[in-house]
Amino acid sequence: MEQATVTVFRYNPETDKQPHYETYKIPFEPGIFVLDVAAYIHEKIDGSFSFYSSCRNSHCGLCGAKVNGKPGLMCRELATREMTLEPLSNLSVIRDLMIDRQEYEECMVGLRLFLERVKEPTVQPEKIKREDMDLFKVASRCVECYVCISVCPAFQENRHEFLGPAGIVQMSRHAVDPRDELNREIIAYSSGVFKCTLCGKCDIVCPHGISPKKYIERLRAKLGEKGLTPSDKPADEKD
Amino acid sequence: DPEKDYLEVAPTCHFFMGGAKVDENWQSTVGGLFVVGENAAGIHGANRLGQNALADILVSGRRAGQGAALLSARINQAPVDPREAQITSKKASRVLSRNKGVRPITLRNRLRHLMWDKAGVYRTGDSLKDALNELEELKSDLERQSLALNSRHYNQELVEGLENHFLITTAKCVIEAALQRTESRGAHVREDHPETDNDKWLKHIVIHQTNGKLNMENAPIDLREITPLEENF
Repeated sequence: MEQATVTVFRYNPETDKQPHYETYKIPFEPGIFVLDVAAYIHEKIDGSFSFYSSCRNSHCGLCGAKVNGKPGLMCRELATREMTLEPLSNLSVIRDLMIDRQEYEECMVGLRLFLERVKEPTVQPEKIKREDMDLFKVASRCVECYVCISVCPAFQENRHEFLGPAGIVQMSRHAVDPRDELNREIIAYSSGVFKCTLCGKCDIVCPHGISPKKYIERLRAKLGEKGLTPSDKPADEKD
Repeated sequence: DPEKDYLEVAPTCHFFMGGAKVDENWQSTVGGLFVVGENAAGIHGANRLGQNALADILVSGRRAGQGAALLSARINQAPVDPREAQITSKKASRVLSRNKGVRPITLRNRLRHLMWDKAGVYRTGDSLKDALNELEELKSDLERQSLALNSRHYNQELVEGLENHFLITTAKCVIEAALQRTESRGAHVREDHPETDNDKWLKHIVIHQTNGKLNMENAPIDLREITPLEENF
């Protein structure tokens, strides 16, 4: 049987002073996915090797990792005969390929990620325009894998002033929904949509083909309409 | 590219028609525990049709959400049974302290294969009885589970080991109910009983656990809005 050589980032902060890399030989056949490789190492070689995974079908967003330096979902990336597996960048490592998802989830508390509405719809069933639905349908594909976060230079530079693409997509899902009644522009402003460099790296890596950049530009345009520009503070808003 | 290349196709466990028994607010018999979607039982009858899971999650999510909000406004905190908490904590400590034994993933794979081979798409009384016997063997290995990583912090293997306890109980419910139901209905296909038997089996099987023992009962089906058909395989 063919073999693949896999070099894996290993780090257990409870016992290791420094991360290190280990190389494993595993049986290979064309068509297997990187997640199969990770599962093989965990099951057959070293049970302490840790990573998240659940659905094996790109929906749970848990198995993000860097494969040969390129971030993606392990369940979607085809394995190759030589590979390096590393955790996603820009978030702390809990162990091996497990990143601290909670660290980012905490950034999203306060975003009020639900449909905020008090008014009852006047007509039932409520009709939503096709073009409006298309906008939030795409944003709602986000599975919070944080692959975009791992490549974002603005988030890496200043996470205290910039929420990062994942959170902004989550927020946009409601901001572009005509039924939502919350003033999401203010939240968008304080989330630092103007700190984004519009480099578009997030668009390239998103496993679900969402363009966070497009949503950021949209939020910026909305803020612009209200007279909010990068130099303004939210308190300067004039009606 | 599906126009040129081959596509890999395999049957898989698609949906669980069985699940936790809930009331009209999707609350289970454990007070404060709301169960929605595929985890709840009986919404789709003997087989779920395509797209109906979507209707299920929308209805159950909304009703359970409203029910939970109303309940939480009335009570301060759901009571946690300290005895149950201690049992689980001790169970975890035992797995963590064991140096030798069966790895949770090994046990999990054995369970998966057992259920697929003997309680899967097509079952017979014999295959189900075999499954029940082999399940007892797996059950005896639960208290032999040991881990490659003895950390209490984000230890997926520990979670897997604890889940195995629940999975074996669930598997036992599936097998016992399938064994008892000597007919074929919807997704339940007994090769030794291919006919649908409305006289005997137009009813639910309800299982509840007391002191580690499974008790089986039958419950009537609400037929106010549906008329059952005779179906043959």
